[in-house]
Amino acid sequence: MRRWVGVLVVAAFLLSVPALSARVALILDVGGRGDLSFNDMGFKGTEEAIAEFGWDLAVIQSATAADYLPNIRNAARSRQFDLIICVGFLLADALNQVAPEFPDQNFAIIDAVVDQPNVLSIIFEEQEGSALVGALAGMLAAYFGYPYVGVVLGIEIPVLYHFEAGYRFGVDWGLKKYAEETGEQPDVGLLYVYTGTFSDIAKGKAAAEAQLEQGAVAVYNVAGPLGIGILEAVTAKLEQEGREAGPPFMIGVDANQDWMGNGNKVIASMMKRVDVGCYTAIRLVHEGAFEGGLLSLGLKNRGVGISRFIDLLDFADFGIGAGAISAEEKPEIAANWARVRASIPTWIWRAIDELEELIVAGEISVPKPETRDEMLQVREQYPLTRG
Amino acid sequence: MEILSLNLFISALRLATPIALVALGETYSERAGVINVGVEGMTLAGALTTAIVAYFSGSPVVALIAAIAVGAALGALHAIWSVYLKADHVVSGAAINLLVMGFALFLTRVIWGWRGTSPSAPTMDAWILVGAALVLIALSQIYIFRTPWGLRLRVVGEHPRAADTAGINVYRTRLAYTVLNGALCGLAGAFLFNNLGRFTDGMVGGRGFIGIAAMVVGNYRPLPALLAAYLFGFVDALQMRLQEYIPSQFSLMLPYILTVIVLAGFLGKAQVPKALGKPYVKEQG
Repeated sequence: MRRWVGVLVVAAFLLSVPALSARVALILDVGGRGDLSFNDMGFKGTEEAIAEFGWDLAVIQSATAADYLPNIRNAARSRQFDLIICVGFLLADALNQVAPEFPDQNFAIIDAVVDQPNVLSIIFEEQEGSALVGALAGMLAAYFGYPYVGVVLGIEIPVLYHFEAGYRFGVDWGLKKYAEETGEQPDVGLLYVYTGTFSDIAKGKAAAEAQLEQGAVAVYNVAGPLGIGILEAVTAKLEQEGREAGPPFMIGVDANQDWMGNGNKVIASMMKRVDVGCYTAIRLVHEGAFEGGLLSLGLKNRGVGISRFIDLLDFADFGIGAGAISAEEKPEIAANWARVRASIPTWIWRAIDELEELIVAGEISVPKPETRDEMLQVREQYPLTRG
Repeated sequence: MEILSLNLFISALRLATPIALVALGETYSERAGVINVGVEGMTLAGALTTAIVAYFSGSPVVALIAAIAVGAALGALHAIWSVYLKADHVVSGAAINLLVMGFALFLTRVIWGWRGTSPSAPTMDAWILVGAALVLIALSQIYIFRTPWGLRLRVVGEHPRAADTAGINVYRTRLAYTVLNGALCGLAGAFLFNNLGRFTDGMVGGRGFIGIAAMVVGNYRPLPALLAAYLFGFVDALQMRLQEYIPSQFSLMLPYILTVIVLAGFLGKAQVPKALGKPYVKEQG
């Protein structure tokens, strides 16, 4: 009898181990942790979800592109994970290959579409968020009397068209709004450059310099790491003019980059909430509502958006954690940020809220070109040339 | 829109400086007969060293010296492999490129916990380095073609046996100028860092290789190589202002296409040092 109890206890223990808590694997591309952007956000959202739902987490970093396939396959083969999240479009091809091999395994991929029944593809409506920062840039140029707004982009790939088109649309909307509010017709043009790189930061700086020297009030960073170079160009321009706070400004991308440059050089960020994506995927599995397909995160479900104060505080902590800034600097950064935002009339901020509401309500739709031809049409529709 | 502004020319000068420095270094080593394709890695090492030393010492000047020293050390490494151990010059250089790229990822992770990037660190005015580069290039033009040391350098690359017979130590000369090449790459890397205020592993972005091209366009002479580098920088700066009119896929090609055209067309016959890339064996038979 006692022996049987013992066997039962052991059996129960063995059975309960896998069920003790659910597990998620986060597979990162070569970018990895510490980018203060995409990957760190994915990690943040995942951490929030596992804390809330009591899950366990395994992070799998890919050293080279050749690791994508084995990393995903090994994670799936281990049968340990209730969900495997691939962070970043670079992992799409590998996932597309592995997903059919493990039809019972739940997968999610961020920022790419993998058309398999067991994969949840989470994509972002970048054009919606870009429209908001575009409207801000347009109104800032008119308000501060600058002739241009700028945007520096990476390699000319279709997903960047979403950003450019949204920005164009937003600048145009903002200029019209400005004319409506003030009765003045602003003469503002758009400067844009595809640098052809996501890594050569010096090119980002040179491109931003070219736009700033022509009188861009803000340069929108649509080239990830090149933002470092753009911010450097903005800082140099301000130093040259003997000022510390913009205009001109940088507009951040993906993560909240408002805290960079002491809080007074990045006026806003177009946030692509990878954290919301990861969180949502885990929540769906936790609630038993997970199914493959497309999940599009836009303004209405907070998947993209313009940065707010709460985001600043969140992401300043990111910067502190990574050692980019110290904890003592945080209050000063927050104060600088608040001061710069307050230097811009409230009606401009309200106008951006209005645009957001209009997009969420579906009364305005922002163009979302997928091909070069469609992009050219948007450029024709919103040429944004001066004079 | 003002395209041909003064700023365009200034921006071009900044884009050209690291390329011109690499081209100068490569001119020295190839004039001595040593091909060095490791310039990309040596430049990256210079930038990384500047970042690390500036971050911990707080002194951009110390960082500059360290960058030059590390570049020189890598130059010495290349010389030991290719001159003394007679390895294939291109293989040795390529090995250095791979070595430094791996090291950059490793060190940034170990030191700052970041993958391939550094936090911002103190810098000096990058214009000082632009000025230094211009002075070095002008002096080198005189040194190589108007001094006895320059003559010895050229003989070692053209006809090492004759140089040896005349009492010039071929090995030591090649070592010295390869070290100098590394040092100049270190300087180019220091410029790249000071231009941005932080390190990232992609920051050299092919400028080392473009530097070699600039040297060839300049026909193994410092001043023409500077002009080639400047032309490249100028077209690069110009195309950023032209994308409204030309699709980016084409405008981004312009600097490279132009380099190829100049290489192929206007140059005439390149005067390649005759013993370039050939290991020198002192005693035969």
